[in-house]
Amino acid sequence: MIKAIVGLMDFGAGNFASVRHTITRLGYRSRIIKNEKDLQDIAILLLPGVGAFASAMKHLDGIGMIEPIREFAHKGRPLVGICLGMQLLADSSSEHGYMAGLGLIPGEVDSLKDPVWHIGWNNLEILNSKQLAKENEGACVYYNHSYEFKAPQEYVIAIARAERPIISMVRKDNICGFQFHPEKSQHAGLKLMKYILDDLAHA
Amino acid sequence: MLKKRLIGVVTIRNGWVVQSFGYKRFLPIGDPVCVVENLDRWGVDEIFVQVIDRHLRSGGPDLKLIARISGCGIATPIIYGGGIASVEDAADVVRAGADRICIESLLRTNPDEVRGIALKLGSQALIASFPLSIEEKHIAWFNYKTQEQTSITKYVADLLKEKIISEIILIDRVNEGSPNSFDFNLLKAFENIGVPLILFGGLSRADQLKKALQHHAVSAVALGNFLNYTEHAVQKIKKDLAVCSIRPPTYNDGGLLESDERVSSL
Repeated sequence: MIKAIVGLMDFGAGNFASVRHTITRLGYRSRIIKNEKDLQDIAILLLPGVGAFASAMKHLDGIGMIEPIREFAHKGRPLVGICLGMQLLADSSSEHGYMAGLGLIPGEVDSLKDPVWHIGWNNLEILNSKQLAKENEGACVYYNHSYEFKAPQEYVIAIARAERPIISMVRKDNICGFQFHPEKSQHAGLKLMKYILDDLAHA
Repeated sequence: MLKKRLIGVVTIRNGWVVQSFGYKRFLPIGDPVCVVENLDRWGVDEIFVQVIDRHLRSGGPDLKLIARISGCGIATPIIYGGGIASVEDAADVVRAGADRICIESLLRTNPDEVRGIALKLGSQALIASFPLSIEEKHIAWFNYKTQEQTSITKYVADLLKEKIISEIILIDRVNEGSPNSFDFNLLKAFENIGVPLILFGGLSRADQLKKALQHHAVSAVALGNFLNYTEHAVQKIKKDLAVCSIRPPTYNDGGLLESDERVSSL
């Protein structure tokens, strides 16, 4: 049996090693995506994320990948964003000034403000997805962010509670985003990542 | 709610993990990758890899070491500190596999570069460590390069208030490695600046760890030597700290079976 390929978008600064290891552990092949041609035969495109919104978008623009990613998603092909990768799915961000995003899920990225940071382990409260909730409700996962994706309620499938609710997962058709790092959330993250990748790969 | 954290500290000198006693005496433990793999399996909440001799070698951060560690598929967040002197160094460290970076001497030598790192990586990825002691009732900040102690300058204090650094590691430099000896007077200068604190150095027993975690400004406690003395130390400490809103103990063997079942059998 040929294993499906998960493409990892190269932002020029991100940490691939852990995500790549997780993907392999879950039975998928991985490929670093550097240009449009690399997208051809992948099953899922994954945007991993550490860094700032503007520098990631500028990098994507510099290598001519903004339109190919949009086209990939508009064709209904599965796309997953992790942390900054999820925020890039939004229409825009105010991080270090206004910057347009990929515009694949409606919403804006703005600073958390109160609290200033959301760093550490927090429980997942799942909304709008009975199947996901069945095995992952209350899962404790690792967050590390100071900006948040403010998406309309219809696209929010999970939240975390700090001083107030913070959006943890978004989904629109075959596009899904994790605000936390499943690849750094030990057993709980591995389970969530498996659920989403398997679901999207067979969509 | 956000959990308070137990961080495993891996101190590296001459390429080997060491037990450290006040950063003056050292005993070898072993290979960094093996030690980090153990902490990952035992379910610590974060791993702080601190390479304490990079400033003597002028070689920048130990990127080969970070790549070796991340290449093993560690599923616990990694903080790296040691030899980071520029935005490029910081970006290289993240590219090599660290999730967050820790700076120390850069705060003294080039604060503008600290702002540049926050701009490039985001403040959530940036931690500052302060090796401190109490000298004649005043907090003294130790400089490893010059081996001198100074007070914390107003410039650095103002920089911390800018919120470009997401957490501060307060190191009790003198009591580091000595059981149950952390000096809580060190918190006085930092507890009201609005940046969460990670306490390290001489924290070992449950009563002192509880006192630390119940402090409003403390987000995490960090342990080095004391995780190596007892079997299943991480699980035992986490059970003892259950009242402190800490993540329950887990055992992470990378499989997809319920990890809690393994912990209950320990």
